[in-house]
Amino acid sequence: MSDTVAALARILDEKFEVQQKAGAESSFDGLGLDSLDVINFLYSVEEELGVKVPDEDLVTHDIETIGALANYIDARNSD
Amino acid sequence: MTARDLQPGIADIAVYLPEATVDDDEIKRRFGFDQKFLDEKLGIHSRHIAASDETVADMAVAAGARLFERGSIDRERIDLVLLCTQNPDYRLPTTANLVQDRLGLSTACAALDINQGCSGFVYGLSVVRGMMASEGLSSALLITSEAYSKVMNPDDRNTVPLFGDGAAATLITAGGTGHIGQSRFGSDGSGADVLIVRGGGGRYPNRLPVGEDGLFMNGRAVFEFMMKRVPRNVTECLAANELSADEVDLFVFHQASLFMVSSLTRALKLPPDKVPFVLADGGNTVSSTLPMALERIGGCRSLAGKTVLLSGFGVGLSWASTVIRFSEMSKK
Repeated sequence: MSDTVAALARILDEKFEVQQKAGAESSFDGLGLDSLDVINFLYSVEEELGVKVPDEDLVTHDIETIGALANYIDARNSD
Repeated sequence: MTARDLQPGIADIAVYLPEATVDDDEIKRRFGFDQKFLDEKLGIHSRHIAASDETVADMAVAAGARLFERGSIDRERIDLVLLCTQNPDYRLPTTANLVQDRLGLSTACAALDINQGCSGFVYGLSVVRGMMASEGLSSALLITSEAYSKVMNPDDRNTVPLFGDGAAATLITAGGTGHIGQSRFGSDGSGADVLIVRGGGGRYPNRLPVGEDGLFMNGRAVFEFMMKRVPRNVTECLAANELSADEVDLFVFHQASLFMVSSLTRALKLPPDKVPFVLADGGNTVSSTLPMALERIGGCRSLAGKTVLLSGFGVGLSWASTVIRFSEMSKK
């Protein structure tokens, strides 16, 4: 598990009652997150990891899993 | 002792909700939400909708009339009517003038509107408090009245499930038992676009059909604004009133949705039993959610002896918090 995936999993574990332990392959749907949970989660990600994920990037970068989100964050951090 | 010697305080609150409602079954049918989401995230099960010929002034008058019907005060004694709305009956004149006339208030009564949304009740309390203190007024009506149904796009799943119409009339008197404390305000007009109706004002004078120019809300941006601005504002309001969070009995937040109130509760690390969400019937009535919540909790009599922090936030972007200290009521 990459450091970023681990950080995202920790945020989910601490702040959300997710249905399973989160990993790179975990989808938001599969974790039981609805649209408002995703908003809340992305806010926590911005606060803790310093990367904002605009709405349009969720779509254009196909961010539907924790792994995809981690890849996006890592790419932004290396810019 | 004159009116100037007595602190302005909330004395009574009356509420008017239109008869027609949109319930969860209709919301599920129209937008495909499931009941779990409606229960756990929105927390709103019934939204009241003004009739097609029912306006903000109509609802304001209905709420005010209820105050007078219960004998809270003689209407001739009202020195000021302040109406908070963002959907006036006409571009001009001021809707408060219409309300003054239709409620039969004295022509010596001051009347004005303030155009503010979800922060409007707190702003309104401060304006009323200031005018009462500076001008020695003895009684005022702060009426919040809103009909977002008239500007919402009926197909918009972001707004229709949340917002309801209605009005609240709050009686504020010199010596009223709900003493209005210090307020703290905030504004950020750079966020205007996240919650907006563009047409019908000076910028775009001609109203477009609501399908093309309905109320637009970026829910995520509104949530992030709340999380960034409101906790600090609440903390500053506590400090201004020389209170710790432990000394506050209830934190009554703008009843935007259960999701928003719960998120704010966690952000401020407040015990959930101090933070009510009481508008499952009514929904987000904009500037009326705070007085409606107070009324639903039981009003001045139930809150006697309690310290309540009120916080409103939303369109503008605008936010404001204040403290109301309800004194014990004298036994009659």
